[in-house]
Amino acid sequence: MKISKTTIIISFLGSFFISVFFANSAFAAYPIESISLDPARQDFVVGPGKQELFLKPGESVEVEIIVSNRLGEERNFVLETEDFKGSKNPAETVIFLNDQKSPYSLKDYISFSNDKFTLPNGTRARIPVRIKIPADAEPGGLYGGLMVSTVKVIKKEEISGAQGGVPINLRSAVLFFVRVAGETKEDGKLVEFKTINDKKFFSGNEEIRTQLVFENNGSVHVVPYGTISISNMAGKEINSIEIDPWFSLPDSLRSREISFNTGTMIGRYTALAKIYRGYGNIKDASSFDEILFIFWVVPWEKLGILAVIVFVIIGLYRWFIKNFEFKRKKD
Amino acid sequence: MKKVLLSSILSLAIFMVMFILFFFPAIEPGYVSATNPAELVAKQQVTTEMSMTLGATTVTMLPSIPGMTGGVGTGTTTINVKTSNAAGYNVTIKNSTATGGKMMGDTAGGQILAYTPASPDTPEAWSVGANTAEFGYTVTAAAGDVVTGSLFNSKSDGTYYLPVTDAEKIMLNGATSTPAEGSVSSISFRAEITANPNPAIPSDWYVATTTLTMSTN
Repeated sequence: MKISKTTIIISFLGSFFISVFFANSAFAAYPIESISLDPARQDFVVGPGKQELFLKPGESVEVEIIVSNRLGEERNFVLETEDFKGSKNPAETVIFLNDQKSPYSLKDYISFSNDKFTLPNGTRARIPVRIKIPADAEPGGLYGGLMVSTVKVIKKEEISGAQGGVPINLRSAVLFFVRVAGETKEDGKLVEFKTINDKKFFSGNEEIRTQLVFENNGSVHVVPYGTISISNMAGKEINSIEIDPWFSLPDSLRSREISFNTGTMIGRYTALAKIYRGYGNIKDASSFDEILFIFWVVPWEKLGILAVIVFVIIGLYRWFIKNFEFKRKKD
Repeated sequence: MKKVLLSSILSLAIFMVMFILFFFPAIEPGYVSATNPAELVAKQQVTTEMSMTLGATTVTMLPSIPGMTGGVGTGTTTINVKTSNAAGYNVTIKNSTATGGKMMGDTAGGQILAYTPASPDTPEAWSVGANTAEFGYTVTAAAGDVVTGSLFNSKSDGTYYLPVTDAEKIMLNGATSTPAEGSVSSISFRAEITANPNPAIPSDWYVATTTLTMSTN
């Protein structure tokens, strides 16, 4: 049977428009896969927490984020982009800017095919996210977050008097750190290393909380890391704590808290933080910052008990010597 | 004679303790790290993930508050945070609808104002003046979940309050990855209407939608 050209054209156009319609449906799905469920854990999981990318102007890259639904029911999820920046207040890790744009705005360059999707319980979606840098982008850092959220609809109850309810939206932010190739100003430094509240004396088996503050005055983020080395009065290193890399955004102060226990320490100690700034030759000493402080560990309780024991032993010895004597046996 | 004996024994005891204090560094075990150049190393990257769940996604505050004679309503929910990020996490809080931290009446146009601490961003013991109505929140968390950087550092026992602001503020800040079962804190909301509020607080359902955002440090 001959099929007319008109039929072919109508079939083609019909298929085209149907596929476009479904592709743009509000809750069109990303590819999903099953995950194992633990009834004790009811949450939605997002990862990775952050992505660091190195791109040239005009270049684009596709990365993947993973959203897993373990909430016990099918849920709708929403994706949004938001800029973030650092802060001169070391207490603030990042500041999300809502609708505002930052000087290092990335949110308009992040794209994905659907900003709403549905995930059945016990599944996860691998979501392709594209970051495309404009051809005229200047060298330096660009920073934006991909916010993944899910909202449950609240139900109102009978009103009597003034009654309050607080619906809570949950969001997890995947942070994107993009470095656009070209000449950039890298300028970071460890500016402070001390104990919380400048405490200098600790007792036995006490946690010592220390704080490192890193300052970044450059135009691009850096990722410092290093070690804290604890040495005793004799200069012997008795502990070394690795500090995993942490990010420091341009024009910001970033603090990091590291704790360790006094354990069986006794006496005077030196804590030395040796931090690689995240740029420059790692074999060059000038790429590192070192700050140290001195602290004392005096386990008063143990030393007090020891003093009492010594006191009693010496007292008993003196009393024994005073009241008894040794005589050689006669043959 | 006895006095001399006692003082000499005490001095000797103190001397021995001080000797131990200064002699201990010589015998204290040192830190040793060793590498074997003959080792074959296999590498596998594991990426970080994070999750945050609430005990209740809508916190209903109880009891209802009489609009003229006043009273206090509170509501609490737990927050379970999990992350495999070695540098920890932070959770920020903000008012979702940019109302300046107020609870807005659903139909009658009334408002419960945002709590006003004496010093911005400094949690304080709850205190509301006369003839008014205010709304705020507090956090109860383990010390490890409110390290330096959290507004509630050293004030996380559930008795210090702040308003929910339009700007994001760090409510929780953990310095390390969390245990497998998560790190559980709780957030409590509080609204108080004092007697004869001016302006009046009409009978209504008052809502303040809040957004909690988790990110990795």
